[in-house]
Amino acid sequence: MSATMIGERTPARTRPASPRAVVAALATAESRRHLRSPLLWVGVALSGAFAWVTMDQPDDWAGARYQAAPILVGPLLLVISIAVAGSFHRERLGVSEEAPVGEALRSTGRLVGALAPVAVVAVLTAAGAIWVRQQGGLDIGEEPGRTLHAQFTLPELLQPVVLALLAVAVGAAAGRRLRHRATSTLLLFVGWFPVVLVYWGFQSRQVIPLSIVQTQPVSLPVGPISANPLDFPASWLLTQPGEYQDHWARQFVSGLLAAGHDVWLLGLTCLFLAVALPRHRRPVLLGLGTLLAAGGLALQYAVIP
Amino acid sequence: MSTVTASTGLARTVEVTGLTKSYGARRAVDALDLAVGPGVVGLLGPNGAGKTTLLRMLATVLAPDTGTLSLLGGDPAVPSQRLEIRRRLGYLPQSPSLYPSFTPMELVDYVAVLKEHTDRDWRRREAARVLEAVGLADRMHQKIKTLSGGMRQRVALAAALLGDPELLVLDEPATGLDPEQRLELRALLSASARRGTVLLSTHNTTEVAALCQRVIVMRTGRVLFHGTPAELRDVAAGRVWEETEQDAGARRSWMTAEGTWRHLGDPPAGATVAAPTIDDGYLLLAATDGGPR
Amino acid sequence: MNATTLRQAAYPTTRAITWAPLVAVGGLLLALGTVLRLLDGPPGPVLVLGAAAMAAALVFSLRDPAAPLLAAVPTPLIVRRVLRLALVGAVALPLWGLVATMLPGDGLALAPGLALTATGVAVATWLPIDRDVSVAAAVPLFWASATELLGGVGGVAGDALARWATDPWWVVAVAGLLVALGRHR
Repeated sequence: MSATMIGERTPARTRPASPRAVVAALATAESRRHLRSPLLWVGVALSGAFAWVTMDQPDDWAGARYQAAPILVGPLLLVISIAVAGSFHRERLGVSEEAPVGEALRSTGRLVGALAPVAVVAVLTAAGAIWVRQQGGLDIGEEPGRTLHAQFTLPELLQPVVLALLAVAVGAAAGRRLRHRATSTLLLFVGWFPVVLVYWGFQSRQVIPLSIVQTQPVSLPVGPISANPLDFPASWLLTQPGEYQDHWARQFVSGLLAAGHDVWLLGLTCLFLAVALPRHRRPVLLGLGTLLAAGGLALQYAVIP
Repeated sequence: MSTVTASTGLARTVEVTGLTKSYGARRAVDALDLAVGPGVVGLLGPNGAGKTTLLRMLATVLAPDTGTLSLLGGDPAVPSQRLEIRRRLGYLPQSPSLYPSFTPMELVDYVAVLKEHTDRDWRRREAARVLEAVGLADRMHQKIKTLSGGMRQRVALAAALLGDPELLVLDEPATGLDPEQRLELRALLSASARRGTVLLSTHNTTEVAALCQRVIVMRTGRVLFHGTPAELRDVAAGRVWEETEQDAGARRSWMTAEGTWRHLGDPPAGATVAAPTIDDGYLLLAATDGGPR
Repeated sequence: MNATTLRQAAYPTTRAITWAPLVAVGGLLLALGTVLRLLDGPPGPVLVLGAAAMAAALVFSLRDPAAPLLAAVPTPLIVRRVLRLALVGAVALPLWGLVATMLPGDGLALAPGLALTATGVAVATWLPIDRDVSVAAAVPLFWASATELLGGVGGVAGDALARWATDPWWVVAVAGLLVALGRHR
């Protein structure tokens, strides 16, 4: 039986770790935490079920499934925001105030770690794109301007990923700046819910660039009921006048519009990060965010006919 | 099954038979028998020994999985009797959270209301009395968020002392207190024990020696020892020795401030046996049971 | 425990409640209500959103940081919780009414919100003793979101999901029964 040994020491580090190593270590721990969180997988399950319910039934109108695709990540966006808010809320607990690693580095570690759920969104988006390709594409429009083989453009496919980045930034701001986790959770719920489910509120050409979840095609009125659809350019996708529409409308799908929207979302992401991160990083983020948001909006308005 | 009787001959305030509580597969308290009368009873044991779980059951906060429990002559499993027990009980949980925007006076008064004391004047007087008793007379109108950790602990203790309860259940009451405050706490609890039973958990054997009439040592939900502090000290009688070198045959060894090695176990021939302390008794007990070295 | 105890406990309990979630949700709902009124937009999803968020805020008001200290007082947990709900309800109900009058059209009924709240309270009652009530507060959010997102499922599952909106009083009754059964926990 051996005696208790007291007095053995682990030699202390003589040199501090590099900031990059600190961020990497923090990010690894955070990403593990995110990926092990049941919340993330509840979000994946809800988004999956939402996708199944939406894609399994025939289009209510021409282009309904194409239009609904971007909102399928809605539950995931909410859970990512809530999870990241939880991560940043730990910054408020004060346990690491005296740590040699400052808040800026800790926040960077948390943000890099939050890229793990963003990667999950990217993988699911890629899987969705492959599924659409395997189906031979989705329907948009009605005769005589119709396609049965619409595929998402790359900027459209990037939208869920950029939205996930925005969700990270929004969660970081809520977690860092609100005292109670419950308040941040409820505000994120109340904030994301209409953005996702009231997407149709942003479909007119005047406001669609300002939307958060942008759905295409954008419906643009092009002629009265009496118009002859064969007079419209053959490349246009069209919808007929009907119960909800008293005119012929062009179904406008544009990769450039989606690209502008992605830039707008990146701008918003920078602005929310400016709220979340320590004061000295704010000017750069505010400047960059404003520039990107304005540029994204300008591009979108320039593209929409 | 282990039986502990910590009675001073007066009526027993706590009687426990076959008490068991599990969290999943882990048994926090394992078929424990216990009888306690008036006086101060100290509960010693390493972290995870089951002390807090036992105290929570004795405070009627947690229901046991099996076993019978009688507190102040009532059965806490019966709602009406539990209510009656709670009227005569004071409980201090481990590191309790408080409302930061309250003052100690407001918090203790609130607890008094919830203890069904509806006479405002009595409540005010009693709240002032217990806050004074815990040494917070000059801080009773300051916001709790401005108080130190030790002061907050004393606010919670004051709430437990309200109305001179017949049974006081205190989970590590001395946490965060400085030596002077510990001394005051001892005096306070000794006074309470004259009127009823005080059950407290602690990691501090000095506390036990100075305050408790009886001591119970727990480990993995079972009782390793029950008796007086002197009996706990005697567990190590003739089994403590000091040398200038470390002895690999000792059950436990550590270097003292004087630079000599203090050993517990079976002393080798010719070793100079030292006078045991309660610490020695406790550590030897834990080591004998296969506890941490 | 008697009426005097409850009356005297009301003011300190009001101070002990975390009001921020309710204030935040109420403020945001009022803002949304104003926007919808200006746009004359259909309030459908806002009803779901409002009911769920308000229910979650009400359930969250059960969270008591000093609960361990109060665990052994003779005023039972269920009574302390009912008092908290009554106090936050006194603020939430007028707020709900105000949002209801702001929204265009009709249909901001109270019963679905009550059903979600009662469900959250029932879950809080049966949670393991050391679990935070935030888990229970998430139930209304989760249930309402699932209903909204998976509304098209149909069949038994779809009907069950929408039960809080279609048969709110039944849900209130079942949840109330669960709370009553767990009153001694």
